[in-house]
Amino acid sequence: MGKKIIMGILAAIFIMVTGQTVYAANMNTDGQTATVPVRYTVSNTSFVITVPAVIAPGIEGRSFEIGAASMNLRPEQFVEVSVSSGCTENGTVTLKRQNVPEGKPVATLDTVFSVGDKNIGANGYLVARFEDGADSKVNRLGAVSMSALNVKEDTEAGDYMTTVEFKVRLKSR
Amino acid sequence: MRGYVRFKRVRPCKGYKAAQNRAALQLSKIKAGRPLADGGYAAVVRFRLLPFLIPLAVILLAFVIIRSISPKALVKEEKTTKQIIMPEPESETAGILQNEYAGLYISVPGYTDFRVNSAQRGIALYNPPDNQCILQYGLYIKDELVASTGMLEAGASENVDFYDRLSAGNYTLTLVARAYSRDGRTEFNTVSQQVILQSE
Repeated sequence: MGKKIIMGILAAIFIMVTGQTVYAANMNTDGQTATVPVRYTVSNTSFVITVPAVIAPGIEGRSFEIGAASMNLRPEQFVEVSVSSGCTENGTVTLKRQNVPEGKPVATLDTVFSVGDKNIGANGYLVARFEDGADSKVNRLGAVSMSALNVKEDTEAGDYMTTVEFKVRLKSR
Repeated sequence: MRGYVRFKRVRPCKGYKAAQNRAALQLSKIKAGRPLADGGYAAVVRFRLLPFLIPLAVILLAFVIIRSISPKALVKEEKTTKQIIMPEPESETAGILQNEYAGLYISVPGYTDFRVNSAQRGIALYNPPDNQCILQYGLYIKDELVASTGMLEAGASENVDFYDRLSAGNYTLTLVARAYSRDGRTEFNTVSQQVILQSE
């Protein structure tokens, strides 16, 4: 009698384990056919981001583009580009007069970066966003505008320039 | 030619040829004449204008042709076809006048999370071939420089090996790509990226 009980328990365990195996394989049957998902993951995400070499605003408002190339992202991935240094929280970027003689104060000129109608400081310094899709190389945020430099008659002559740091982040939704 | 003679129709005879040649030297043509008793030939000649005018016409024509294709004539024609050159809009030149690198773009490759182990001891970093700048990478973990590349010309790449500096575990790695002009004298904008590095 004891042997029968033990055999019954073992049989039940065997059936349960076998049943779970079929379920784990995600197999669906309708009596005649079976659908088995085939899955393979390609892990070759790649992209190239293009940014301006220098910040060069003008006496009139100007703009620059953040570009992308060789985009190969997973559907849930996207690339964000932000300005991580060289820009204040109100979006102001300061250009410094170059080659100033030692001892003389460095003259500056300011420009404000904005995307859409907002300065970038109000938008987490974001300047570009690229997603997988037919237009994956198009910046979803549009061009970055630079306000006109406030050059006056008494502004010191010379080249004014600055550099900023762009931060690129690959994110998933 | 000597004495008075009566001239008749021209008839080539003895002495005629010599007289004809002599007349030709004077751009003339025998119109009438008669042979003389001493073997000479008395001739009436007429000055021929045409042999004189033809070389003159050729010279004049050549002068006109040379003058029409001379550089001086070309310059004169250019003057008549020159148009006034209009300046470019100020908005297109303002930036160029302020900075020679205005309008130049740089490309930086994106990097994803990766792992290092005894077989794969680092990462290959490169400068895209179309770039008109030099790239130099620095790899940082918690603001500490763990590896860097040399100055990479466009199209160049470098494998950086930093496996020995890490113990097993996960790290947030910051790749900073510093860009410079091709002569190395002007620093351009910088691009940084953060990835997860797994060391095995």
